[in-house]
Amino acid sequence: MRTWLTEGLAPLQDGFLRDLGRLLLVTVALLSFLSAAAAWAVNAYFGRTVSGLIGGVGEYDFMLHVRADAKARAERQLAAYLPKAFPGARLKPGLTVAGQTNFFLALPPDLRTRSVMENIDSAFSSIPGYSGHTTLVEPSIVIHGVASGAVRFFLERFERLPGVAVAFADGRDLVVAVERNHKPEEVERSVKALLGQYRLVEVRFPMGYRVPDLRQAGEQVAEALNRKFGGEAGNKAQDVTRSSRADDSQSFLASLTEMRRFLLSYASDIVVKMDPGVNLQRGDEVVVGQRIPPPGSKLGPGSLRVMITGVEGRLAHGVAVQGDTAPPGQSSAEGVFPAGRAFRVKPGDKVGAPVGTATIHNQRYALMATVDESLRLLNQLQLLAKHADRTAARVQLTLDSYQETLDRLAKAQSTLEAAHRGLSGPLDGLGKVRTDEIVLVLNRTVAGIDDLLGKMSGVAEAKAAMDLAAEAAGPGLPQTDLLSQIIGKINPVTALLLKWRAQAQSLALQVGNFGLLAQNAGGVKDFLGDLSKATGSTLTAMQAIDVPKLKADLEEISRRLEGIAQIDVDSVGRQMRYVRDSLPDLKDEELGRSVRLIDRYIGGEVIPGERLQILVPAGFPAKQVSAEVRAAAGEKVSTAVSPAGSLKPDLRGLLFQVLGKVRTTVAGLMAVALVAAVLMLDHALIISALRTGWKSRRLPRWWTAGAAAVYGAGIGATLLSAVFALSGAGLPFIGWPAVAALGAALGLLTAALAGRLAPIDVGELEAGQAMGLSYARMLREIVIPEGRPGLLFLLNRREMIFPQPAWGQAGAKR
Amino acid sequence: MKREPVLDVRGLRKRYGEIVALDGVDLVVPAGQTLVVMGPSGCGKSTLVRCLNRLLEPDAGEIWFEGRNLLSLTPPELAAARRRIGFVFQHSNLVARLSARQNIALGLIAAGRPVEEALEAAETALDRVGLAAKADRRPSQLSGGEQQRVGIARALALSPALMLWDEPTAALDPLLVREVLDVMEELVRDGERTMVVVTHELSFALRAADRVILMDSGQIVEDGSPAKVFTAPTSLLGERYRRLLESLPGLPAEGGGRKGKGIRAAGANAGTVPRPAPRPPMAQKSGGGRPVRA
Ligand SMILES: Nc1ncnc2c1ncn2[C@@H]1O[C@H](COP(=O)(O)OP(=O)(O)OP(=O)(O)O)[C@@H](O)[C@H]1O
Ligand SMILES: [Mg+2]
Repeated sequence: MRTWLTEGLAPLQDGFLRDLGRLLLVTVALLSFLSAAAAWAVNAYFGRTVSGLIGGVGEYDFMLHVRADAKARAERQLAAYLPKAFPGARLKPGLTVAGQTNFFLALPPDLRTRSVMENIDSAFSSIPGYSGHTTLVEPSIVIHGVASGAVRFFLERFERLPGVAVAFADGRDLVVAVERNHKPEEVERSVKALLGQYRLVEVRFPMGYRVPDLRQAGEQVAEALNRKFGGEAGNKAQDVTRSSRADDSQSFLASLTEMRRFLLSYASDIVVKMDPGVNLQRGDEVVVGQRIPPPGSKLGPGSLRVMITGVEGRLAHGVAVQGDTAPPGQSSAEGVFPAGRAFRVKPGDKVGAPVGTATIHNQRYALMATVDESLRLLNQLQLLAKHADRTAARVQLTLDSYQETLDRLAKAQSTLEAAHRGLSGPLDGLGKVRTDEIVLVLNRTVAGIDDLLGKMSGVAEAKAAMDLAAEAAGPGLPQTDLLSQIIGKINPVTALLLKWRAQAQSLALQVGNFGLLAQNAGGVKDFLGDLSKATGSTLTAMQAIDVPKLKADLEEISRRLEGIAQIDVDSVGRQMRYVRDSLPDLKDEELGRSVRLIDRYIGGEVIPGERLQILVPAGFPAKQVSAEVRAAAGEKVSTAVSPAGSLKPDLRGLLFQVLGKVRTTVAGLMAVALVAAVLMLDHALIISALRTGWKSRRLPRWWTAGAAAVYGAGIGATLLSAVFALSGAGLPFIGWPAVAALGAALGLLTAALAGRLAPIDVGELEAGQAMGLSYARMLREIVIPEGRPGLLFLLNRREMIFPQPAWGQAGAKR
Repeated sequence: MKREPVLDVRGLRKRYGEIVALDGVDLVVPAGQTLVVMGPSGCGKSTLVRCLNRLLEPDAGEIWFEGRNLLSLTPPELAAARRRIGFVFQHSNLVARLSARQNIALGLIAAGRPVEEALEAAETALDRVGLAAKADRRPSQLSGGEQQRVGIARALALSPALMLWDEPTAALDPLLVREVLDVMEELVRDGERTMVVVTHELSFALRAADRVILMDSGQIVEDGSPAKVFTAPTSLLGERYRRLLESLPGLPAEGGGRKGKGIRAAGANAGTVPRPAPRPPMAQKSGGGRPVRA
């Protein structure tokens, strides 16, 4: 009993397998060739176009851009200039694209030096219409992201690497040109390795932090690092800080930063004193207020929401992002108000756990209060000045009177002494004493003293008013103190003068009333003596004051006070009120939103330019470096460690890579199309014929369909995979298994459609069978010649007993 | 006389799904016998002859041909056996792209004959069916009868021991039937071959058959000489054939016979349908081939 396998495989005997194998080999070879050829043609076409645009790989060193309108003149000048300036250089005009004409420039080897390469722009700046260049040096490795201060350092090291022809700076990039006979990949590896030996540590200073001398600070940090981690030479951190370029974007960034600083100082600074155990972070949101609903409840639209912008110790600072800090009832010169408790904001705008106690610090309110206070003070000061001036004037008068009184006292003194002397002689001498004269002198002196005292009480009155004004004016004026000192010097004399006046009056009374000095000559004589003595001490006390100097001081004080009095307080007040009223009326939430916007834009950039760049060996432990930097430059600095530089995929290389992809894709598409065609033309026929052969045999039902599917899938997968492999084809996003699967799918489709793609005349086959033709023979003589003309058809011609012209009678039916 | 059987079929069964096409057929055909198989449409005649050379695979049974069971042969052995069995189809089934000569030569070449020799032999075979003049025509350039004669020549060329015919005239224009029947009768007269002929041509059965079997629903219901089957049937089907013969004028109701001495009296136009007078067969077309009639 024959099994289904031998039955099923029976048609494959008598050379059929050999024919099939040969067909597959030829198919794969031909299809691979065709796919590869199509891909090559596409590649050649695009490659030429691309070369026209950007030059072939490594053909030219630079592309010089010249304005299209200046092309002719530029060309003439270049022709004259080039042989002189760059002997041996080659120039080729390229395409004109978007108003730019390009010239390709190839330099002779001896001119490929760093200084030439880096000064191309200045060398060609005199060419009319010249607008810059693009570096094409190939093969080359392009590095970007190297700190500008480290560029020379790296260029020198790159040039020492084997296989490097020259290394030079090209804009912000570093170009390492590889020698022709060296493998770029090897040089790339060593460049990478060299870069990998270093890290760039960037040190940024917090907002508002100004560093007087960046260079010095940088060197200090580098030294600190070297002390800690540094080894022998070559394993040292070095400062590569460069003062940043003042380019537009950076000044814009600077303005934004200033704006942020202003807005932040203008907005309420909401300070949350964190409860123990709470740790607010920058970016957290809290809600602040006196009457916050209990945790878990929904936040109202009017709630004051605060975004934390920074944390200092246990204090978190933030800005309002929703709601306004209510204007305070009473102004406070410090601008600080309690704001109740702070709670976290939970997702869904719900009140979260309490985090601390909030105060609002508002410079705006502080400023407004200050303006008001200043205006008030200004008025007070002016009042004070007026009082002081009046006091000074009175002191002036007092001093005049003081001098007068001093003179009169001196006169009284001499009179009294004379009288005393007269009484000390023989008694009859008394008669000679002119009592009326004494009385007169005493009276005049007393009158002077009265005048002085009167003036002094005027001073006291003025001073009291002045002191009152000074008290109101707060800090007061220096002149009032001087005045008070002057007055304080004069005041003690008052008591002496009052005492003397009493004595003098009683003497005058006695002398005047009794007129008879003789009668009581002894008592009068004592009295005179006492008064004379008192006059003397009073005089001494009074003369201790340097009246002229006081007068000069007073004059100076008066002049000053007059100056103050002359200030136009009203216009100053107007001005200050104007300033106060023109302060922007921005709500806290608007300020908060603006700050947030700026933050997003500047991306946490703290102060543009204000940063240190330290190149450190990669061996320095990153975490400890950060700690050491903070120790050296301040606890508040932020540090970022980044690679010393990174390789840049060069665009031209990329373009050629894309072209390569196009090539493989074209080959892939071609392969798929060709394999599909071969399946439909050749293998549909084979499947159809096999099926007819199987039908007359005792085979399981599944065999006919199953074996055809297996044949189709197997052939499809094999063909497509083989053609892909041989033609170097590829399809985007498709790997090898997928290619095989695609081939199998095409084969399955062919198997399913075989009956329609390649109908077979069953009668002719049966006739063949009846004649004892082998299956292969029937295929060769009957099935294939009458099928569609494909590869199988062509190959089969050699096998036929009765050949026929290739397409002459093909498929002829009766 | 007693001959070795060329064909010995035992218990042959074939089903197409539910349909039982052969229901245990036993049949022994001695060498040189002309066996005509008749029966109503769908009774399994085609199935039987197509199984005999394994164009169809029977489900069960044995087919002994020249001492070997065809059902146990390998493909090459089967191919060799098939070359000993000629098969003439209802439609000639000629290879459309090949000329008449090439069509015939193909089987010879496959049998191992050199091409030139095969083409010559083909020519001879064509001559026998009176088509030597049209040897280079392709099937599309021949009439249906001529195509069928080429088909016969193709089978003949291999000098088969057994020839199977599956209604060779059924698809032909009635006007062309005669020329094919003439060729067939000529072959019978040769007596060289054992033939199993499926046909509805009663006249052929009466004139040429040594033996007639009637089939009904995949079974043999009558088996015997034409005279016996058509005059003394034992089955309902046989009875229907007898009545049919009675109703036809000029057909003798008594037994069939051997070549040359068989029932030949009633003239040429015996058959299921009345036929016009036959033209002289091959001589007319071949323009001087071997005479076919005695
Ligand atoms: N390929 C097939 N698939 C299914 N049934 C078939 C197939 N071939 C034949 N049959 C069926 O088998 C039975 C026998 O068919 P067969 O062709 O042998 O009859 P036949 O006697 O030759 O009839 P006819 O005189 O019409 O040619 C019929 O019922 C027919 O319908
Ligand atoms: Mg039939």
